[in-house]
Amino acid sequence: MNLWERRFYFLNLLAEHLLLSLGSLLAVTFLGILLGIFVFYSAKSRKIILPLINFLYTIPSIAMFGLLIPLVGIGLNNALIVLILYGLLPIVRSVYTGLKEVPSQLVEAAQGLGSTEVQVFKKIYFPLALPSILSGLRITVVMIVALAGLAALIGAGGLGQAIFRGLNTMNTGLIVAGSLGISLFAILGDQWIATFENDNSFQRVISKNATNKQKNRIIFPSIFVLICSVLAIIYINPFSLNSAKTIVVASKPTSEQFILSEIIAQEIENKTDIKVTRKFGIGGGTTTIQPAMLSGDLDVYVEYTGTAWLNVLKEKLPQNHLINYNVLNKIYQEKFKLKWLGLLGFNNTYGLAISKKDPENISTYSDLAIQSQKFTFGAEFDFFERSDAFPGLKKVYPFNFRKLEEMDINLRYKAFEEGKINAVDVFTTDAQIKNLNLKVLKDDKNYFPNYEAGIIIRQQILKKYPEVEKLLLKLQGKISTEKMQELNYEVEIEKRNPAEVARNFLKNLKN
Amino acid sequence: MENKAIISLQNIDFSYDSKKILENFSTDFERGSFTCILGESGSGKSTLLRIINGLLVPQKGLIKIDGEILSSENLIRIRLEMGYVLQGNSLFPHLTVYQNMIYCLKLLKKTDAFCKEKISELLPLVGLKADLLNKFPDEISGGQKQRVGIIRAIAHNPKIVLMDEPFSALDSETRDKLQILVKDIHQKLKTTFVMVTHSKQEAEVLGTEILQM
Repeated sequence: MNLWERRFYFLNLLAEHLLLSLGSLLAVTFLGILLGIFVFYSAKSRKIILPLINFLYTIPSIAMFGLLIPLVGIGLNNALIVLILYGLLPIVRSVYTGLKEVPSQLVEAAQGLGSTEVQVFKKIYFPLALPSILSGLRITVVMIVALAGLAALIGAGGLGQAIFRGLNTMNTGLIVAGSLGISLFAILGDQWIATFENDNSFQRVISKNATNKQKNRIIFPSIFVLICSVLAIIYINPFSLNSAKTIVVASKPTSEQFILSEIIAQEIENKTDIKVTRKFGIGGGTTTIQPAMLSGDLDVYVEYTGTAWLNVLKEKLPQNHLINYNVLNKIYQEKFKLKWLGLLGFNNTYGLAISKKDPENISTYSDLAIQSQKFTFGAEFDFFERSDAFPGLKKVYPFNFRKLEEMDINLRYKAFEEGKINAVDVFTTDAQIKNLNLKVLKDDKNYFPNYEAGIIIRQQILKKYPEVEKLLLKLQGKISTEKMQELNYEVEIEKRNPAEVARNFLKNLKN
Repeated sequence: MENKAIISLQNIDFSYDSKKILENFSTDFERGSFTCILGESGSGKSTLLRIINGLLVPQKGLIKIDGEILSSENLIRIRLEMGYVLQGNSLFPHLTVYQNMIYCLKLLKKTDAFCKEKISELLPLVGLKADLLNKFPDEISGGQKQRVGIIRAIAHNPKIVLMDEPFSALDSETRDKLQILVKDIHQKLKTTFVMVTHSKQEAEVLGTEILQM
């Protein structure tokens, strides 16, 4: 799948990124200038507000997106708030500094000549602080454009989606295209603000003494930005989403989830007149998606029985480590008003794997435990953190690895390939098992429960669109573990687009 | 009845932090006079000028401008009846020479036509040419800047013109020229001038009164 074939996908991301950045830029400029002025005139508030926005700035941005989820949910509002909070620091500081550095002699002259406080501000302080304000704004715009790249993690779209999609499906082309897009955007944004700054153009305009050249220098680029924004709004038409019949399909940030959610989305699009909004690759997975399902920000996604039982319901595992689907579904309906629409047919549970070239006598977890001193074990952050993963596993099998490596879930196979680790946790449907020639060991004490995939949907949606239930129930049992591995392989190794893989799958399903 | 004293300072106490600058200070400035306030640096001569303008508020005492007691209520209105020329370059750098000149006229909401006429009337008086009007302060010489500053201070026909060492940063040749110019303007306008200077020579050339601090 080359990038040219994805041009409409990119156009959409570009439009989202533009509107998200521009919207938060306008808001932060307005708010930042007001706060900066307030802080300048009120020494008391300065002592509180400046340290506060400094503090906000030190919170890692990913954490900030996460912290806001319980308050405002996921999506656009969350992203806008984070971008505005981060953008405040440079702009408030530059407004305050700019005002503070206006020469006192000029202020005295203006006052002495009979200007009121408001006139002194409008005629002297503000225009003279503008160079500093604009240079702060240039920093803000670059920061916002870059940070908007993370908004995709919470389903707010933008070019970051291409990057995360690329990371999650091991598609370097997408990562490069997304990153270059954001860089280009940031440069253009910076240059746009620079048109206000260069030759003091904006200062001259508001002082009513600009030459035509200075006026044009500002007007034409700004008209260009305005036209692009209007086109972007027309293109993504955000207002139609609320009115029309819409279902929001979500996915966690994995290839498998991209494919499955595409399958669901395309089924709904092909066989009903309901519009689908795709919120794919949501960072934090279940932790982020579950509250958003409850608040109604998201409507449908694919979950795994093990995750639902242990992480959402926080129930203990039954003796035999087998989760009962019917019990699970009953609790979900009563407790959350969410319904499971059957199971898709595959079990994507945890597995531990080593290379097939490693000594033959290791075939079970117990074997691995005995020889674990020879292995450097790598896994994602979750795996080491979740009590049902590594901490629990260690109690059943006495692992004592030479070294443990924590890394992003998308990088662990890369690390394996490069020999940085020689034992790794896998999901049993991973395409890389075949690709890297891995031997998935036998869980001889049945530690890991079953992680069978099923579609979860809000009951309210089923009431609104009853046809969807029947439609999605037809997918029950249609995807075996081998089939899922195959579909993942097509995306991750053959670099095909999840939408295309889903389309082919549905086509073959009919035949 | 018109007061003879246009500015009257009565029993002024003023101190910065704990340093006393003025103590029980009283003086009157006669209408139409040209008073030079002469003194060493730190003697409180600039402070006195700022007190007259209301930029500094004394701890004790009264300031009467044309019979009216200066207070926060009438401060802006009274300031608009004064002109103010500061030390060095106090032209607004983001405004053109012309915009600087009409600053007070605009505060008084005069029409563009009025401003234009007024400035073309004043230009020959200070010896400036019209081609400077669209320049910015950083594009003209120090002497020209002070001439622009003088127009800014007198364009709205103030009752009083306050000048705080206006020529201190200029070379002696320019200073001499401007002294003659200011003297000339005073005689033509018959306005009250109060000028702070540290030069005895300047005070003697310009002043009809000298106030030694």
